[in-house]
Amino acid sequence: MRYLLFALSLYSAIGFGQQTAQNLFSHYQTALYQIRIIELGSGNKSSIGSGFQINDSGVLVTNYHVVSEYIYFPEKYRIEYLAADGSVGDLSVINIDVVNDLALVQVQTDKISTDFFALSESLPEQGSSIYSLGNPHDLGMIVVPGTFNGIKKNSFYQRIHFTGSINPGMSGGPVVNPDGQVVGVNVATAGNQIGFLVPLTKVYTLLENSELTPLSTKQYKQTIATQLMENQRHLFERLESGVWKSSHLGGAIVPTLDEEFLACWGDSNSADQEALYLSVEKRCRLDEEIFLHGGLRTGGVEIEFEWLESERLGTHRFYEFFSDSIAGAGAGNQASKNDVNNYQCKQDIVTNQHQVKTKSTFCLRAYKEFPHLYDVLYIGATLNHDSQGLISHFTLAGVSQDSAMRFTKQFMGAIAWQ
Amino acid sequence: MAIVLELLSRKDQTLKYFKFNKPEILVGRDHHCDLRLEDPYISAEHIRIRQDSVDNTIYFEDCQTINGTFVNKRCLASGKLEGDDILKIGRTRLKVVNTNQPVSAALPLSQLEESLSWLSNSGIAILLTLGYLVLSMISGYLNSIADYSIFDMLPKEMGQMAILSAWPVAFAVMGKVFNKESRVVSQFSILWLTLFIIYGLYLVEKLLSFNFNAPVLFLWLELVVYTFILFGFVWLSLFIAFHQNNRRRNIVSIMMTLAIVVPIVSIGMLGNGDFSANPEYDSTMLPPAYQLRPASDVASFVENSGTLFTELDKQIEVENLRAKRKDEKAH
Repeated sequence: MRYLLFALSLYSAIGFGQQTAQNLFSHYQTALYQIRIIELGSGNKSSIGSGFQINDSGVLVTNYHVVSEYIYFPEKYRIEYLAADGSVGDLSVINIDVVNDLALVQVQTDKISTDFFALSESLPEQGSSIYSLGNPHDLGMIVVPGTFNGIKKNSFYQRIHFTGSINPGMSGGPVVNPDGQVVGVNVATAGNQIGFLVPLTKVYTLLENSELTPLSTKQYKQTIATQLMENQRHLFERLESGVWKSSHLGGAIVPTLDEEFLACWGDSNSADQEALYLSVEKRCRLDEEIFLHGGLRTGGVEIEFEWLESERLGTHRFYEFFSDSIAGAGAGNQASKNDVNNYQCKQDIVTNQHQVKTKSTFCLRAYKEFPHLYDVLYIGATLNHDSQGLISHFTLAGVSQDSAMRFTKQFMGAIAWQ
Repeated sequence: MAIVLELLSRKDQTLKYFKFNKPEILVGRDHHCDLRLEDPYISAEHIRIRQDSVDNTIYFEDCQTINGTFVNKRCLASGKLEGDDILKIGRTRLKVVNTNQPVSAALPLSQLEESLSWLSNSGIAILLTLGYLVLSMISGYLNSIADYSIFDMLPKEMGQMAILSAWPVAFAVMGKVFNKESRVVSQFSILWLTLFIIYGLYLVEKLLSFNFNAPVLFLWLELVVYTFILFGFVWLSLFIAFHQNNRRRNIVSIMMTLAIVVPIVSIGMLGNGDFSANPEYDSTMLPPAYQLRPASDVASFVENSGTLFTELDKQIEVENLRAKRKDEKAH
């Protein structure tokens, strides 16, 4: 009997879920839009996403990455919407938030739909049902039921963890509670029912900071530059004021940031019986990056340490191996020729306050469109021991001179011997 | 006076030399001819060559042959012959030598030739060969991070040396063909000596780049030094293989050096302006004992790195200006 009851209640839960989904869909379909980026040369859509109306004057919320190609190359693209009734029209960009991947766009038509989504006042409780709406793979608008699983841990760029499948094309669609109020915006997926949403608060902030008049195309990059600069300042303040703990790696003491948003992983070859050397690695990184356009990501931080030691190789062979290990370091973020210039480096042999002697290489490249923002790559290899050494390495993407120099100083100074 | 003829190869090299102390000679395939040529296209009595006793002028007369006589490619029945004229009868080519003209002066014996004679010592050559084998084994050992087995490496290193041997062998063959002397031992000695010098320079370069981080100027200097070594190597190989005058040898050496260096440089330079996501930096690490200069401290290193920011800003400014000008021109 108990089983039967359980089965019944399960059935009714599913029934309720289906009903809500149906209701939601029929109720709000007119406030859902497909957003298309039209390539001017061919006149065809080059990418698609979703968007939803949030007031009666035709303002839509979507992801920045949905409209990024247009923002970056306004002379090559235009943005268009496709409404539920099949009508098509132009969109203009009111404001963007590259850090949180949001954009506000304005429908350019006289017949603006009066249906819109209300924004929820608060986030739901963990485990409650929420519904993601959007247009995956250009298949038409659909509803995906799922579960709210709180704000994602270990993230500097805040995301809601949504258990349910979000697919390409659904980006920018709303995620609503059973009452039809928006709690987040579809943004990314990690596969296997793990989806990520931009939290509601970010939408509120963007709305507060926006004027009613659309941005001019000239203001796009300026806006991005300001937001990146502000974001890196905020990030490095947190990194600097965070608690720098010391942890042991082989015979060295390396700095570890006790910040919840840096995810760390480790590895070693100690199980390999044939290896003539011991290698112990530790890597920490920010889980997310800021998407700027198809070929450019920024806002990432990576820190890596590798301890190498070998009694069997002998000094000269060990140092040959050490040379190979520090060769060929590359950028931590994706960027193209039009975004950044080539790295330039400064190298020297440096001793820090703990008497750790390091061959240090500091490389830098600048962003072509965002003045005074740089990507940094540092790699150092110690020179104190004959057959032991520590490689310390970090990459920072999209930082100011001040942040870069302060971080480098702090990082280099924190390495010590046990 | 005498009639002097040279039998020429197809490439105008002298094969044989004939001198007749007679005022008139008969050339043909018949046994009684003064100059008998075994060429089936030549008639039994082909031409008569006669020297005027007064002014030494040489005349010839075709003996109404089937294939005729060609003087400097023109078919003639008779006529006067000058020095350096080329007679073609049948398939054979003869050059008339002007005995009035003096031969070129003798090449001076080179001092260098004497001082390089020790290179042809087989003992030294064998020592150098073994020395190079040992050196390449040691260098292979230092560059390995897995267990090193001499018996695995020996065939590999010897194979590489066999490939390198193509150079001295090629010069020895050419020397044998053109000079009747291969001097292969000297060629090998020169090759191993050059490789020793290059390896030595490689070690110096490593030491310098570890300490001074290989600035661009350093790369150019390196290129110049290696080009000179290559030039010297080619020059000596030629010197040993051929008897040439210095001017010709210099020109050939420069051409061969450029033929090797130019492709290497252009491949290196072609990619230089291209965008790369990886920085170019010096990764040479040597044991602490090789550090030649004092270390700096963190604060001054970071401060020095500050100049990179202004340099890059300037670079972008220049690029933007250039793009702007281009735009204006396009309008």
